Amino acid sequence: MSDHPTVPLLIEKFGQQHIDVREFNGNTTVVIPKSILVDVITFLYNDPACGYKQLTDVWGVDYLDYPEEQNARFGVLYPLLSIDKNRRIIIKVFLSEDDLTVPTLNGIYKGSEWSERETAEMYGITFEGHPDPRRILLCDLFEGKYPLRKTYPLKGQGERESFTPITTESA
Amino acid sequence: MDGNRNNLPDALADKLPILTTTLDTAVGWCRKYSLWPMPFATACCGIEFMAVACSRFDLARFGAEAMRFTPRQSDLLFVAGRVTVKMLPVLQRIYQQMCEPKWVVSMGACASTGGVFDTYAVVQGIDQYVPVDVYIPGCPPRPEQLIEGLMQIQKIAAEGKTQSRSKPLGVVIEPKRTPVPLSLKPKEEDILKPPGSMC
Repeated sequence: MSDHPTVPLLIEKFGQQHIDVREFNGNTTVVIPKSILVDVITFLYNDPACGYKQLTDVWGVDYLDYPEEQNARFGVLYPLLSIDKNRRIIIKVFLSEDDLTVPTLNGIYKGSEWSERETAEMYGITFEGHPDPRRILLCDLFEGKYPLRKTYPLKGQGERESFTPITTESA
Repeated sequence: MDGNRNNLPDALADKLPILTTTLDTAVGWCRKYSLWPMPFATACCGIEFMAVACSRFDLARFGAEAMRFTPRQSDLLFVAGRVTVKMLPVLQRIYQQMCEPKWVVSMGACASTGGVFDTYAVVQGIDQYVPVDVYIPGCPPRPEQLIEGLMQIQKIAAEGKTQSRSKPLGVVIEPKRTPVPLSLKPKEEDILKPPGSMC
């Protein structure tokens, strides 16, 4: 069992059956169901004993062909930082392929906006309630393609070969 | 300057302080020592390019120290670093905006071939989409190689071709590596062992 001071608070508030704690390399990851994501994050943000006021990043993971059995194909991770307590915790939800939606955290952390847009266009995960769900980083050639999925070929689907050459005459 | 005094009568050639030449040669000679580079530096090769422009290697010795960050004022495009699919239209636009006559140097492995970045996001060699005159290999190239590439461009510029060329030159600067002489190699006993080492 983890000796992270925040874990007992989460178990007390949300019940043992919803909290799956994993420890690796000194990082504590708490896997929770998608349905209580916003509640858990709100609790971690507001509770004075937690005080996780900063969302460091948002990213996705594709667990296709992963050696260890996972709950579902995709994971979304939210590493949180408590500056007051000098503590970090990672919240993780699993998304199965038939329902790639997750609620946005923009109501709690304003800074989640761009990270969520990036995760959305790299993995095709929809962040429900996002105020500005446009694509953010990739150019128009990648419309509807999700390059960080394991099923996407590393060398692309011809995007890098699809330009018109210019010559000394045409320039 | 490739002046030609022989066309003058002998009596005049010795006495008069004049030099005859063609306009193209004169213009080419001027151009050769006033190349204005536009650094298109997208990665670590750009750092090496800065070193070339700084005092130790000093591109000013070749008259090419006037970096311009607008293509309208430059005639030599240095593509230093990997070019992504998002950046390639920008590179093409910049090339088109440059004034004639213009030359392109593809600096380093990434700009020339994509380097180790054989992925969906990186163009595998800019010469597929813009004409490249000089390729400089290396990761990154040594400043000496870069200077040699510039000197190749100078040679081309000195030829004095005022109209645009029909195809890129495709000159490759070969890397030159001098092996260290045996007398300069450190001996086994000279190599410092880390403190606390048992061997």
